[in-house]
Amino acid sequence: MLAIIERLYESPLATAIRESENLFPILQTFHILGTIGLAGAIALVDLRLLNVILRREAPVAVAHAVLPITWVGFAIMAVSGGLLFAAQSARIYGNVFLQLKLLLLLIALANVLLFHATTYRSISAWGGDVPPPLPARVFAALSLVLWAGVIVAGRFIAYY
Amino acid sequence: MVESLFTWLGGTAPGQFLAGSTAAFATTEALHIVGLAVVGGVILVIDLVALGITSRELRAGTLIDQLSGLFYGALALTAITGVMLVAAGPYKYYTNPLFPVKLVLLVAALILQITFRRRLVPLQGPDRLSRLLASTSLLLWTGVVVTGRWLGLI
Repeated sequence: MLAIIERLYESPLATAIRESENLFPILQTFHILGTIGLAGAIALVDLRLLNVILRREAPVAVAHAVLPITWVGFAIMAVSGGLLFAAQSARIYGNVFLQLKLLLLLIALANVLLFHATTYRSISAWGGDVPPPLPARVFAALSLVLWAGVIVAGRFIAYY
Repeated sequence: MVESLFTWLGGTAPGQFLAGSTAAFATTEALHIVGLAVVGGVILVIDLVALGITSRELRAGTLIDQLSGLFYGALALTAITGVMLVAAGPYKYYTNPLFPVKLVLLVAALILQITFRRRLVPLQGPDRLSRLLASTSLLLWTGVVVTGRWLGLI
């Protein structure tokens, strides 16, 4: 594990990012834009499933409007985040907030995958007088907490 | 006049507290980003529907109405935490040339969001004007986030 991180840290791309004056903050800017797209858009689906917002719109219509944003947001966040990590990997792999963030991220992704593989399949039937079923609301509430946790832990990496 | 406002902010209890506590400062920053994420999510969904990119089932006009409560709530969280962050280090912002740029972009984005679009976005679906407004809105909000990130770096 250590050897892999060491090789990542010394790789030409990671070294270039580390030694450049502007690449690092540029990647940070993309990382925050991607995170906003991902977490903000997901929050809208979650709040719809919890019947908090957009009650006049069918959950499936909200999901269709939001999912493309989450995919693009996720891609931007993951690529920029991976590069940011590579550039600092040898220095920050032991950071407790980085580890916490990655753990929360994994749980959040598992939560999304599990939701889409199970309850989400019947999303077309929800809406109007039919509220989203309890499992959907649990997935949604978990998702809100997990993504907020990812953001908070992520911000703390810089300070500890 | 403006300088005394920054001085006063720095002397307030939240300003003093945040200046002395790394954990409290980082938490406030994190809440600022959480609020911003929700604001950004609302803007992205509305503007991309107005542009006809993501969904043709939904209407931008009805989305704006239904999401305004969430938008203002998240905006309030972002604004309050933002003022608190300034209070924790007021002179850093007072002398930062990007700070007024960010505020101008923010005010422009809000004026566009609040005043014009409620009246102008037609309920029938995307037309030329609503596409133009939506693109402008996306550019302005992206500018707010980008200048916000670079504020801390120069």
